[in-house]
Amino acid sequence: MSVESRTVSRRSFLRLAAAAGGMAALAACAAPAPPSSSSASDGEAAAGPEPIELRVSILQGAPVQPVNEFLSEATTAKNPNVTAKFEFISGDLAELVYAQAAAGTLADVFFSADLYAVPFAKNDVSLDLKAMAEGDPDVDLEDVFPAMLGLGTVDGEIHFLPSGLDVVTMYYNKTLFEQAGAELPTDTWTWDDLITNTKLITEMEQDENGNPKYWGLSNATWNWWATVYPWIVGYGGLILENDQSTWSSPKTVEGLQAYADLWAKHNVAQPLGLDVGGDSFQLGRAAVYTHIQALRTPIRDNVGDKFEWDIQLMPVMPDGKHRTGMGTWGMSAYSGSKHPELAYQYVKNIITPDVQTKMTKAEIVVPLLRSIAEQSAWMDGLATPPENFMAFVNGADDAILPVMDHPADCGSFYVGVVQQSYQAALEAVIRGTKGAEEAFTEADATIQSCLNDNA
Amino acid sequence: MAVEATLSSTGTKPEKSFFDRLMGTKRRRDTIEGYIFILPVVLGLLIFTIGPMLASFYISFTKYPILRSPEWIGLRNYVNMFTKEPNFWQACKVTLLYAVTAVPLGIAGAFMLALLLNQRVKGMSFFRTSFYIPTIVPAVASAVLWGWLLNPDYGLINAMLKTVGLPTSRFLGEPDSALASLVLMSLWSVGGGMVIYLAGLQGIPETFYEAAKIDGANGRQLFRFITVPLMTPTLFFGLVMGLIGAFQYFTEAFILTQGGPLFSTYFYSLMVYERAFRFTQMGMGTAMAWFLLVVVLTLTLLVFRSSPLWVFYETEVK
Repeated sequence: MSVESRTVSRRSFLRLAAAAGGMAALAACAAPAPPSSSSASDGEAAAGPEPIELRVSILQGAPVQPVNEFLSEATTAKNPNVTAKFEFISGDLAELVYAQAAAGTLADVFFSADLYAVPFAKNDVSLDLKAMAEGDPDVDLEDVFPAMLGLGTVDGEIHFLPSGLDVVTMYYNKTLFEQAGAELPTDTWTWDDLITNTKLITEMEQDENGNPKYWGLSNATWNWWATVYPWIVGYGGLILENDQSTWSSPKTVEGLQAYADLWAKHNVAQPLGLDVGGDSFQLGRAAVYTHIQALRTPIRDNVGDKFEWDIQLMPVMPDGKHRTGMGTWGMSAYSGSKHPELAYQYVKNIITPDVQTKMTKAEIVVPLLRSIAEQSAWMDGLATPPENFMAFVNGADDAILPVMDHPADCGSFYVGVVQQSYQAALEAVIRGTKGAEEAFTEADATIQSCLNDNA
Repeated sequence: MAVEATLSSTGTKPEKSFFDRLMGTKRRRDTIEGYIFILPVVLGLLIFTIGPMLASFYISFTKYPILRSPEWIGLRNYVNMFTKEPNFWQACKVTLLYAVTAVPLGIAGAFMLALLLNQRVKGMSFFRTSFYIPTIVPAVASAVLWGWLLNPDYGLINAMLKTVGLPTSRFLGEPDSALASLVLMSLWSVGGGMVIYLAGLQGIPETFYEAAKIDGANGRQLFRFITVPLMTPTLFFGLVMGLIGAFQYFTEAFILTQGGPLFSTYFYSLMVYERAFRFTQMGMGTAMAWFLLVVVLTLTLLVFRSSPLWVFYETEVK
């Protein structure tokens, strides 16, 4: 190789290296890529044939994917130029949504759930759908069970539309009740009735260390707001009043102590932290499990003919009502979407009679439209067990909504300081390391400090 | 050289291009070339490390809920961290307890294994490989595996305890035993340290042992006066790295306990993650992270300052 050619080659290389370095620096400093949706406006989309791809961010598999296939189908039927492109997500949804929203790359429509309604709304991630829904002849908000609509309602705005009537209901193992000589749950049962009868189950058989082999109540949902808060309401308590945290008010403490006594005093519930290798109800180790309707299919599939089971209304609280909570998932539209109207058109289908009927018959939901749920026809042809389908619907009468009035920085029942404080206090009471008054006074102090800082 | 090589056949010196003028003398050219070659690394460091560090330092003085702009609040995050965060001191306590138990146990365990595997016995490669394998298992997989082993209801460890007539434990399910269970789990990966200590042991010149033996030293004296002193540089390295790792402990607790039960495994890094990404209090999260940096830096410096007292180098004269 000649000297000259070596020199030229090195120069070229250096120029290339400098150019590459500069490009790398520019690339690193570049603004995030814009959303990949079509740049056409909604108006153009509605008027013209230009194809539009609506990005839809969902969880893969049942129940979310099949529901979205119905939504996609209904959207395309009305807007032939619109197709939904599913983007499957996994992991921590809030983290992912926040990151994508901060980068401006969140999908036009995205999966959401009750726990995300407040943080997504207060951080301006989700679009308020109320005005569009109220002016839409295809949608009748009055027909939706108010409690379900309330799960996605934040400060009077609607931030996600729910998928179904998901009221927390009592699943019970008939075989285990009968083996223990206990009575089967009825729709007039109080919590005292449940304790009396499930004690028979807990005392039925012990291992070599004297620990129960079976429990009256599963621990799977012990700290879920929809399990805990009904005890507070059922005893006449509150958790927030006039910007004051009231977890340690007498009635609230009474309700929480009564709940914790299922473990601490009556010993009818599966101990906290005891993992039996799966869901204790499905494994036949816990007689009662409280959850929404969506669990009926996996329970039926997993239990098979190992034992008989059915569902019943939650027991009656001291206020005379079948207090229970609800939790559901639904779909939201991104506030930064370039197609807000189309995003709404997609999401709204979830509460239309046609899609609700399809979802009900596919056993994905219990219908959340009164006009369907209150007719017995929706139950025709559904697989059993359970037999007592109306428990899923009737529970809605006394069902309560989570409190969503805390400032976003203090969190809610689902996240942040509020959640961490009440769950830590409740755990301490259940484990017997603190009394309810002491534990919840501490929780109140923490939450109140946050309320004061964010007043 | 390059300029001579580009002389034209007429002997006249061609005009220098802009690039040649920029490059100037060979010394200058070499310097520029050097900078260009390190440019990708420097840019990477600036853009992906120094930049985010400076940004996080700024954010630590703000209220920053990620989706809204940061709002300058001065030292409030730092003050609140020490005075208002109910679980801050618990997180410090848990992390410190873990560091003062898991690090010495890990060093002792790895060192003892290295001593055993430094013997000349048949099948030594097999044993060395066996002890090292756990360190290459992904942390998430090993956490799940240990979750099964320690399960109070169907776990292998309780089954073994029952078989030999010993009392069983709830391990990760009880506040009293959860942290100890994580310390126990940490010993599973002593193979990484073992390899380093093994290399250190094999670096000790055989002549030292031979000379000591001629002087009448027994096995215990060989270990006490030759092996241990000459291993102190390696042990020092293990201590520094172990301390830094212990203060950043996260994965296993995140997967298995989420900080519970009753905050008994609420590690500092879990708290930082929770604040930043779950509570979306990025300002508080970064303030906590900066405090952690200061603590780790201080402890590391203390260990370095203490090293002249207990670390011996082969050629060192004291």
